[in-house]
Amino acid sequence: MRARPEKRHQDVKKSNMETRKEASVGIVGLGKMGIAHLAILNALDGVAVRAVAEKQSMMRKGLGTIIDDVNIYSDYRVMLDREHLDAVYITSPTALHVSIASECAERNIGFFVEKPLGLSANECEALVREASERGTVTMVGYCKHFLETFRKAKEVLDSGQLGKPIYVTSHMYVSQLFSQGSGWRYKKESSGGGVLNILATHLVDILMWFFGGVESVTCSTKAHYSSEVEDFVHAYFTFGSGLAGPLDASWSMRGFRLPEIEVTVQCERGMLTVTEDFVKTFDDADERYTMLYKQDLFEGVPVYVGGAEYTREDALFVECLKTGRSPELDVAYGCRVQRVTDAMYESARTGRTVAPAGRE
Amino acid sequence: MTDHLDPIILGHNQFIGVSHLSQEAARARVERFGRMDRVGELIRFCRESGVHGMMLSSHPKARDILAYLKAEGLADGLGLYPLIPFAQGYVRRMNAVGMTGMIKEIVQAAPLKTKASLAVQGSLGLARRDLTRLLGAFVDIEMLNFKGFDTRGVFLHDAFVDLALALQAREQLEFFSKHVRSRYGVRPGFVTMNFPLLVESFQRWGMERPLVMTTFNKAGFQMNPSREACERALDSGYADVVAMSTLAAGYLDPGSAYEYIHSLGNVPSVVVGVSTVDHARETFSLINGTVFKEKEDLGL
Repeated sequence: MRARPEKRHQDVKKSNMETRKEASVGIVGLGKMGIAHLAILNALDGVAVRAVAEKQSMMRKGLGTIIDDVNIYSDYRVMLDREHLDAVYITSPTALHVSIASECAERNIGFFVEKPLGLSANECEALVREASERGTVTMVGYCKHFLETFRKAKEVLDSGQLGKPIYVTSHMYVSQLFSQGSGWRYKKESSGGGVLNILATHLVDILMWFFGGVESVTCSTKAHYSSEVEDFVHAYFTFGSGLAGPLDASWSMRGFRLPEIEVTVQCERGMLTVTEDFVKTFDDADERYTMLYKQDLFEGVPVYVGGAEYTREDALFVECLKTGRSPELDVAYGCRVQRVTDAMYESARTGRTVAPAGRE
Repeated sequence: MTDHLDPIILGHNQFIGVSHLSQEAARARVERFGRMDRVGELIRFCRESGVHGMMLSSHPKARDILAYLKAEGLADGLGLYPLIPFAQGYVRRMNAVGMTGMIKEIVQAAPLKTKASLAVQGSLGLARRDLTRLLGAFVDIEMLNFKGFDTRGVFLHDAFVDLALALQAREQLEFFSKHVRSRYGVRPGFVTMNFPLLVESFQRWGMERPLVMTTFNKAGFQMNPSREACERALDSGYADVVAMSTLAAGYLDPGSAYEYIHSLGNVPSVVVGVSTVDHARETFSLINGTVFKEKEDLGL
């Protein structure tokens, strides 16, 4: 690793950004999400992708035929040392997230890491401390925060118009796996788990975003198609606020062409249901349902690649790089979500109700 | 080679269980069109009403539909607009077997001729220049499904077009264009959610004035970056547009929705999703009376 005076480097970075008015970004891992972020960042104003690190030579060659003004590396460490980057997108398999992020933090490079932050909260704690001490700009890709319907639901719940939440039911399903899968997602050591850590972490995030910290959790998991990881998960949450209710998730559910999240909240004075497609509220006062579709809430994005939520999260991260402040979805938040999924796995293993470690 | 573009193209989403309104609506469609005779009934009515264009992806269900149409004699004179590749299927395969696993599967499934042109060395020893041609393999594999049908245009799926536009992958888009022209003798089409970006990019690259399927609806739904920007791009006249999501996925009242399309003045074709004969009758008559009301020769 090249020695570099940290303070000076930071100053150089800041002045670079001021004169270029453009953030320099690198990407580690050219999977589905790496490619999506690469494309979006390439099209967004105020940011330029300077370098990409990818282990597989075929992907490197492929990228080389498409883009010629990006430096391509096989080893991300070499990329971090050679390039003057303001931030790195970490879109590798989950098992590598924390070690790559730590190396970025050590070099005072901001980073965006795809969800989930890591394999377990234990693994993330030191990173959270380091990023906080150094003031590193960080973000974890909990992209559902950038979908119109979920944003609206959060707004309605926070407004208090339906009163205090009492009971919440939720699920996340997709028809994805009906035979043994191959690839990193289905190996525990590279994914940290199955449908819970890979997919339903989105739902855990939404519940925590809506309702705050989790007090305790009771959880069961079941594997049918996968040999190392769970295909089904069922949990009962109790939040710090006293709100409680179940979460059910699977990637082996028929009838869900696309991943679907549904959260229904019974409140003191009404109820609310939210999915990717709509927000439905029932107000006891006027005994009426109000339906808001994603069409009602739609906002265009400067460039659309696979989902407006990815453009919005990238635009926010680029903005944060300019101001030097992390968004709410920083590593500390990512770690809090991780503690809850850890507690779910522990509960499933021991059969006991578990309190997430370090809860607030 | 003629570039015939049907003014009304029957969409395929209802047949393959896709609804952009909600997954619940999608499941209802799976149930309704689980019976092939219902697909047949609807297509027969379309043909009788003068609608002879149909868009179809290479979804597994689409293959059954094509076989059925052939067996029932409904394929004669029916113009197909394949939409390829079947993106969702590849995303699922990618999630299941990884990116390289998926590419291996594609190479293995390619027609011999394509495989030879890929000059596959070993299992994945693709030469640098062949990676663009991999796109040709995608196209050829998917087009196998449509062999023997009257194909009037081949649309590249928005998942690929939008990725290519954001990456400014000119070479790959040009390759697709040329490949469709030379191998299939029809007009290449592009589906996009970034219409203004497509028009601006194609113009800058000096590419042939494209056939584009993109969202146009009164609600501005899925129109990026905005409805106004999409309308301005349409006014430039640099694309033949097939309007999709004209009802914003079933959200808009059809009457005013088609009035809006007519008001644009520059939309030669509309792709529609209809689920029943009654629905189709109403839709065609509305489109005929609004979007194409000045055109008497449609014979609808």
